Amino acid sequence: MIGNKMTRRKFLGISAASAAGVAFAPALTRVVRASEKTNDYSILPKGKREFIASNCDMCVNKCGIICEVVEGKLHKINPNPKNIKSRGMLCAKGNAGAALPYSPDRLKTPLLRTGKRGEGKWKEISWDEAFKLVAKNLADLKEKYQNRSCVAFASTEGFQEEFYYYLVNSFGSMNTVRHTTLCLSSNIQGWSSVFGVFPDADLQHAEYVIMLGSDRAQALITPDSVDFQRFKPKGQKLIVLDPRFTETAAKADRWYPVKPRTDQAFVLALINVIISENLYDHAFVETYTYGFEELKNLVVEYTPEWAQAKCEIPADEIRQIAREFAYHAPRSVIYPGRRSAFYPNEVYIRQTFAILAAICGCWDTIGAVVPKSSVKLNMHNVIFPFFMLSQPRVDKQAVGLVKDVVPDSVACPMVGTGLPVDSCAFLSEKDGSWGSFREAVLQDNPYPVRGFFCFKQNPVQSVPNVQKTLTMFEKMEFICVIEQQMSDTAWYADLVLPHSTYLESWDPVHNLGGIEPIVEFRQPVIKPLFDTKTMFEIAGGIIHEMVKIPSLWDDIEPADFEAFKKDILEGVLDKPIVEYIQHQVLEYPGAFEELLKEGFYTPDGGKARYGSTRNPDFRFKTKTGKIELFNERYKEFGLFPLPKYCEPSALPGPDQYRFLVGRTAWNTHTSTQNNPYLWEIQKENTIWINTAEAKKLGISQGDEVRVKSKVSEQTIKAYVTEKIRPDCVFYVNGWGRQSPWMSQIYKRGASESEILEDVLDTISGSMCMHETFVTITKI
Amino acid sequence: MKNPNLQAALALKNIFFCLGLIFRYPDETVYTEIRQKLEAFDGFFSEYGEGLPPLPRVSDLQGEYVSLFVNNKGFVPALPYASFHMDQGQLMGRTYFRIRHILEESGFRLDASAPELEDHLSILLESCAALVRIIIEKNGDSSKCQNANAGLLELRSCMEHWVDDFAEKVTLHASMDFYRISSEALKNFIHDLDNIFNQVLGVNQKNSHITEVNR
Amino acid sequence: MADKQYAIVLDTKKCLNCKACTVACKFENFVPVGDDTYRIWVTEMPLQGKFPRLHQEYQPSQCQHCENAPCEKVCPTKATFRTREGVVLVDYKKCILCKACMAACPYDARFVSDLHEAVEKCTFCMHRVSEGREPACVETCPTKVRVFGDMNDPASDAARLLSSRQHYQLKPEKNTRPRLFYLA
Repeated sequence: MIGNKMTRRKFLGISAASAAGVAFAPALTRVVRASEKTNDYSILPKGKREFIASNCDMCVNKCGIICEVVEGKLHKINPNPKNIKSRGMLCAKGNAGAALPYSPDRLKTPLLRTGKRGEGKWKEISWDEAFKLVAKNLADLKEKYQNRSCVAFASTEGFQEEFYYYLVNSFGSMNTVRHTTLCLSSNIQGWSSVFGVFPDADLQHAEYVIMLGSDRAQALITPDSVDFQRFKPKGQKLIVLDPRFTETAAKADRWYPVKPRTDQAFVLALINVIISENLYDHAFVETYTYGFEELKNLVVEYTPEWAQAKCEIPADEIRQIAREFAYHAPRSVIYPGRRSAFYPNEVYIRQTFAILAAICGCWDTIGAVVPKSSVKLNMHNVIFPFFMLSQPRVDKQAVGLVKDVVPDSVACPMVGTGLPVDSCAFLSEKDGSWGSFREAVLQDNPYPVRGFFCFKQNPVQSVPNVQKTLTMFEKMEFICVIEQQMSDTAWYADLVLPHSTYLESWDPVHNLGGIEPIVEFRQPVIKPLFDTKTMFEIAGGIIHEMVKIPSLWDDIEPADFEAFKKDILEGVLDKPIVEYIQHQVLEYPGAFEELLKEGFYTPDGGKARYGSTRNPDFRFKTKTGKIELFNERYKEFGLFPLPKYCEPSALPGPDQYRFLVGRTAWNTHTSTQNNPYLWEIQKENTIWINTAEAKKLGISQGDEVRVKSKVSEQTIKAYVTEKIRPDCVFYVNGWGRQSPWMSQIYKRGASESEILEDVLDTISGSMCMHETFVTITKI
Repeated sequence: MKNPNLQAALALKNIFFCLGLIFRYPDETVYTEIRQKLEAFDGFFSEYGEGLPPLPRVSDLQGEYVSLFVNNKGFVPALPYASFHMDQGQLMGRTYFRIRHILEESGFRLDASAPELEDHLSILLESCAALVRIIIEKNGDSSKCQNANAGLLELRSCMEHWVDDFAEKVTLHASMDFYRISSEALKNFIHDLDNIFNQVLGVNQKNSHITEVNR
Repeated sequence: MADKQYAIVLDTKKCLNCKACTVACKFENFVPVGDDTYRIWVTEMPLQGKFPRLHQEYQPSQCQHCENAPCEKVCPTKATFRTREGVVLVDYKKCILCKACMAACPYDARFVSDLHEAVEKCTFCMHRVSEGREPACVETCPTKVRVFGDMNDPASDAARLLSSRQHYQLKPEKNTRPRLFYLA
């Protein structure tokens, strides 16, 4: 389009009037003479090219990176070849991280809601105003409800999360809810019930690997995704059980499209064969385990023939796999995996896996499952005040409330209906359980929760049953979200605080040890582009405003308040974060310099530490101090102590399909889809439907279909394929976002959190991702 | 080269500065300044657009500004960064460095307290105002303001590349008239700059090219 | 001493189809986002078999740096040329965008670059190689599918793989003699 061409006369005509005489306020000038102040554009001298070591934050893995920075601009993120955890790899997401700081959609300055919640009307405010506002709201809520736990704090793992907890503990709320019950808490619980800890798999040296429902080729985990292919020794065998033909299945020596929720039957039958054929490791069982006789009695009935009827894997192949597993032991791995709960008996499924490893002695030795190693860090021993007005967790007291989310149809007979005991007793209490927490808040039982903080968690997209989450938000008098981008959750907030990206900030040192011990940190590779801050700075800013409000400190002793200011503010948050980091590694000479240079530190060259628990005197973190094949604590709590088989729920109707979840290697949950370099790889999700079923339903490749569950319906294109069981359908998470504007990225495909029902795992309180049944109709 | 038409050059400088203010976040100070000074530009807005853009209440204007230009759910409808438009949707691309270079060459920089990128539309417009000021101060002596002349032409050419798209997005997503009318006038003004520079400042592509070769 | 002769040897059985290489290449080489602008790619080979007996492979590829390069032959301005190390490059200044090379390439490895105002393609990341670094796609790969090296150096990993393992090239019927070798 061509603009209307004006003539000089016309321009002069208008300029002759008033415009020429206007004098603007000089203070409003932002483009100033360079000589007026020293030039401070960039952390890097002009034209300089640097390679700076740090660690990725595009997903949970935190792979080592070397950032190539030219004239203050990040050009390329390269893998760090020396990092012993990521083994010199960097995935698509890690590479695409170089676009993150330069995303024009990122949050740039604190935003205060001025319209209705979710309407999208905001004003910019300064950090000072934001800090004051947060402190005032905290004080008001505390005064109104006389209970500090009336404000809930949600967060997800990350290097800055510890500073979020400085804020939480300075206010004194007991209600924190982390991502773990949407993640792997059931898995950790199941393995810990046997070994007392959640171990890693030594895939680099294993000779025989069974993976059940883990797609390591796409759901990338370092070093496992590297090791299971790069170092595959000659003769190593990989057995994969998955209802889908995943990229991992494509790498398998044998793939079984197992009937969902019957993996446990398969593993119980392996245990049956190994015990009945006397293939187990007698010496190991004798020395280290507890409850073998009880286990032996339990599995008598779980023969391969019995299992074949459940899981549809031929009995003779089950026998063969059992023998092979025992033959290669201890270099045999039943893969622990890293994923969310699929079924209400998930903990028992994982307990079964762990028991198989235990009886074959596949523990804490080369090629087996091995407990994680860590590097002892110098802790900041700060003590937060004990506030009188802090009531215990809302979900801790809400026993029985969760009946609604554990319907009879999926409840396991041996654990009854609902969480029979303290719903979050089994993992760290601060993790909470999203499902039971939300139920308790919705019912104001036992007390009202009216404030909500959220640090880098996106419950509106990540917690199944979105409507319930939004209803919970309606109860809140103040919602504050600390984020990098305008997430669906931030959109419903009253105050949005922009967090710097991982490429712009210092992050404290954290253990990431698997089999090899390693600690990592982060250093800024570029200057922050906008007026963003890190959680360290945000916590400090808010707490400084909090100490100015006397009513926030009237339920502690004055001396404790003075000690608080001295220890927490002066001692930690007022100092540069670099001092915090240096303090962490104080005991290791040269470690800080090593961190600056390599991004990681490992005390003894990162050598694997095998065998630390293979000592008859070692006390495992279980009730008996032994590896428990029979769990004494479960017995105490009235739970079944052995992994008794739990029959899966049948399909609710002939036209129903079980909905499966899964991942791709180029997106992290719901957080990366709008990165242009990743969007390019996949522009929308599609629903996998088995070829024969699609034919029955009259659905062809690419047809629009309606997917309907009990809680929602979604529209999505069909991907008709042989790669999935006929009784299941699947689409990947992260799509189908609601957005007021139509664009390439949004409102494409279907949403996972909308379609999923909220069914809870009966022990860990995790959300179960494979207990939703849907109908499919062609539109 | 002939001297600039002083009156017209001052007007041009002020129009740039005024547009810079309009496309800047309207905090209380900026809003008040716009409210007080806008009427003086009645002639400009009548000539290049639909007349003076009606100024809404400050809170409404702030809400509109954030949702059009700063943050929105999913994506920002009308991004005011040159690099976004010129360098594939990313910030701090080549264009950004080019613009920073132009400012540096002319002896300017962005104030350190402004948490903004140099290629933000409001800064580009304010930079144009600053460059026009140089030319006025040097009385249009081309030997003394080569960089300012060249910079001005380059900023113009940069904005001309994306102002249509920008104005179109504003029109599509605006919920009130202020930014719609302003961006429409901005668009027409930018497209006329070639002509205005030549006639008001005696600056054109030809003499700018000569100065570059001489350098 | 003979010149280095660069090649990439690929063990596609290790490929996870994770797309790390394609994203790494885009950043390293300023290749714009877009479905038509790419230097390298990962092909999902057709699914073989019927449920539940299935088989699938993934095939990463890029410019084959052919010893007998059709693109070089058809280029009217000699913009496309081979270096002494056997790397096929484009001199952007000489390219007149006639696209004859794009039509001639049997591997669809070339595209028009707005940035260079020329036809461009994989360069084996020679700017990195000259600094002693590996090409971006080689370095970033989780399982190290691609091995880059000098075929003239018997001690190089690439040469060792070529001498010890069976391998094939893509579209041998075109007689292009690619410098990309796929392990069987």
